[in-house]
Amino acid sequence: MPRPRFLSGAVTVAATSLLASACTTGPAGGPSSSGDESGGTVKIGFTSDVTSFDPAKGASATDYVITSLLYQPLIGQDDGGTFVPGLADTWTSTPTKTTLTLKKGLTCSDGSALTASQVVASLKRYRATSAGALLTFGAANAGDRTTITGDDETGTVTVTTASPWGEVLAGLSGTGAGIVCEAGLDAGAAALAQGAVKGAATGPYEMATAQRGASYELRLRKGFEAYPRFASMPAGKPADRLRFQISKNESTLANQLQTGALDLAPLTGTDATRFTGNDTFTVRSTPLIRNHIGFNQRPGRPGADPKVRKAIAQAVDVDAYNNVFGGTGRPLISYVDDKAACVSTDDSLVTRTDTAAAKQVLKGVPIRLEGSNAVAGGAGNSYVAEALRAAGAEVKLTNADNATWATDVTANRGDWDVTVFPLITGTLARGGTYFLGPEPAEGGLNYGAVKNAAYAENYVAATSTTDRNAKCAAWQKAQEALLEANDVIPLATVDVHYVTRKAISFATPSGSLTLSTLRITG
Amino acid sequence: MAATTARRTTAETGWSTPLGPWGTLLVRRLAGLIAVAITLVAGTFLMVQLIPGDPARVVAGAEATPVDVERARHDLGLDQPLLTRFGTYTGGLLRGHMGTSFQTQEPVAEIIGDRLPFTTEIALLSVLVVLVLAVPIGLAVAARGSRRTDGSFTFVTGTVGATPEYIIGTLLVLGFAIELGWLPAAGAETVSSMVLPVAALVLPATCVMARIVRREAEHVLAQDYMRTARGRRLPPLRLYARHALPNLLTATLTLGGLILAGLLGGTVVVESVFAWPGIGQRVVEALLVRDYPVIQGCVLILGLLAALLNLLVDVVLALLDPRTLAGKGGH
Repeated sequence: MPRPRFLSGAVTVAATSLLASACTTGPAGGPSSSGDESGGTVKIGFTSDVTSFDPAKGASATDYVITSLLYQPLIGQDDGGTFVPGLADTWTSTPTKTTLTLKKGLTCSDGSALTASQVVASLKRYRATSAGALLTFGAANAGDRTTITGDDETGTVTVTTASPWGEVLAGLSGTGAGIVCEAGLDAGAAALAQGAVKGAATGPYEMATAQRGASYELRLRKGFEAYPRFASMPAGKPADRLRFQISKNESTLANQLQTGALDLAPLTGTDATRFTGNDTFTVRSTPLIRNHIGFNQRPGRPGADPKVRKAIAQAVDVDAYNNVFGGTGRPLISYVDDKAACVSTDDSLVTRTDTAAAKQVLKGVPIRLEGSNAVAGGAGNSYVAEALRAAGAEVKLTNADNATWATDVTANRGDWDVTVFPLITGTLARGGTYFLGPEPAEGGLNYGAVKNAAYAENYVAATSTTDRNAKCAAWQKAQEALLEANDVIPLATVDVHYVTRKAISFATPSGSLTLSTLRITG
Repeated sequence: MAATTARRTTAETGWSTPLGPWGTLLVRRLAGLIAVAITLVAGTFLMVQLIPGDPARVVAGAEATPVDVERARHDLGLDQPLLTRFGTYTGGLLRGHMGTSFQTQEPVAEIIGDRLPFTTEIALLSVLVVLVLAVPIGLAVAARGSRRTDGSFTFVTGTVGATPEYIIGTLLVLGFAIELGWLPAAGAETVSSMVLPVAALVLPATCVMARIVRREAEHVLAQDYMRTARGRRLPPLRLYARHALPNLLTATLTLGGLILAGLLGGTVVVESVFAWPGIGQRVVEALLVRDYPVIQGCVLILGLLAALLNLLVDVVLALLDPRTLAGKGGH
């Protein structure tokens, strides 16, 4: 970051800077425009830094947003699970074979042609290095049970799985499956993680400057045309440059928005209300976290008893839970929100609040409740603890930071009975992996040791087909099985509010911030 | 003249060690510095192990299977016994290698090299401003001796001095950035970006320091030599600058050193409020994701800097007032 250092600052700061800054205008009027085909610089704030620029290793929201601009996936996923073209123009998919045809004239950021062979190499690397790839190709298709081939002549890429798996397209639409050009593959994982590998990018932007932990600037690739085609694609010009600034504090982001230092920032807390009704800004909200109550169902734990699980569901009021976050979230009737494909819309499946009935079961039951304090300091966990106490349970609440919670609960290394699970993923297939299969000690994700045969059977059916009707029918049965057994008690979403200046618009397909759709409209 | 001074100092302080007062001071202080470094290395290494939560799980990501987590644990070297890891860490330090960030794979030395200048910049500037403001204010209030001025001074400095920096910072942003639009609300891109973070650090520290200077000044102004100087009808500026100020320096510099050491670690909140990309903000990030090498490296460097600053203050005090060698040198 080029800026004056101490000596000059020390001399001038007390007087000159006050005068100089006093001469500046008030809030800036949004992105500066230049050129005919693209806009100016859009300044975007985030509260978390990039942990890795390697698309296969993304772990934070900022990772997903920035790497998706650098490394474009073959396809995109729109609202309701519809797939749209990305680097690939057309595709066909059966439970065992998916073939995608690349758009003509694709290039890497160094101007070299992007071939089917390079795409294959990138997907093979994704499969070998990304934790999320397990769900793209299916756990039953590990090793040589999946083959990925390409034909440079026809520009086709084919994924073949030995066992039927209907989630290949969904997996390939994820940020982790963003395509990396040969230069990036040759540079190695460490170089990719650091960013700025020349010629590696396939997306609309390439890295211009990076100051780790402080700011990143991406430059629009001239001539890039392979933008994903979402249904709600806004009109206008893409920005010449996207400047990302990291501020740890949401109030700081809000201050910067108000003073014109930023054009776009995601806010999850009450600072978003500062922009409600303000004509200069637009506020767009999408679910960030889908909260549900999950149980430790191992023998001897209260959650092993279906009556206790039902009573806990009866003790909790979803609306009251939502009000803890200012009522801005969306009450859930499944473990994902209503943007997900095939999500249940039958609210009769959810156990109704009945405190009197809950008291009959929960009186004197000791419950160790552990939740993450990552959102609002764990206020939602406190509400659930109080609701259970009101129903007579003897609750010991642990509001742990996210890393501790993940170790204690999702790795099952802690002493816990009940958790408020903050699910990040918005799809039934990915979110549903936590309720079936092996436990963490055996190499699985089933942290609560849930044993729900009807759910598992229908999960397999839903993820093994590419027929949309059959898929949704199986998902409906799977969700019914989970909700009827109270293995999951849906709570509410915590939303992220994207505050932007009026002159900027972007799409949020499937509820995700997708900045390749950002356009300057003014 | 120098020889006379040295003889006088020796006579006054009664030094009899072969190294002399300066040699003894430096040897003792350097030994202390090494002890501090060893304690910091061992302390920070053990401290991070006690933080609950699994760094391998954080690095592996939300969707990682236990196999992925174990692979990450192996890659990070966390599957090694504690003593082996400590040996690797200290061995690396001796070779000048502070390790690599678990999260970003950046060398820790590079992270510190990028971030430390930002923190030292506002910390040093803050101390400078504190000294420039607090000493004249404290001296002026003491010299005036008015009960009314004293009451107002006590009230204002008491209130501001007790206000946390994040509240002062927030109020400054509200007033000067959002309402008036004179200064940037956050960031570190222009010189003017420094004004509000420095002001947030300076205001409470100045109030605390000014109160101490006033108290010290009252004591100094009541001394016989000051009464004599006043009797000679010296101009006020000369009176206070040449006769009172030097006698305030010991306490002022001692406090200034402590304030600077405190500011180095205490900029965390201010860096967060103003998105100032300093080392404090990086430590908080590292703590949240259990990035052990970054935590260890940053705490070690901050601790060593604080110790070095204390050493520097002692040396400066000894230069200004050789009598202090008696207290610092090793009796």
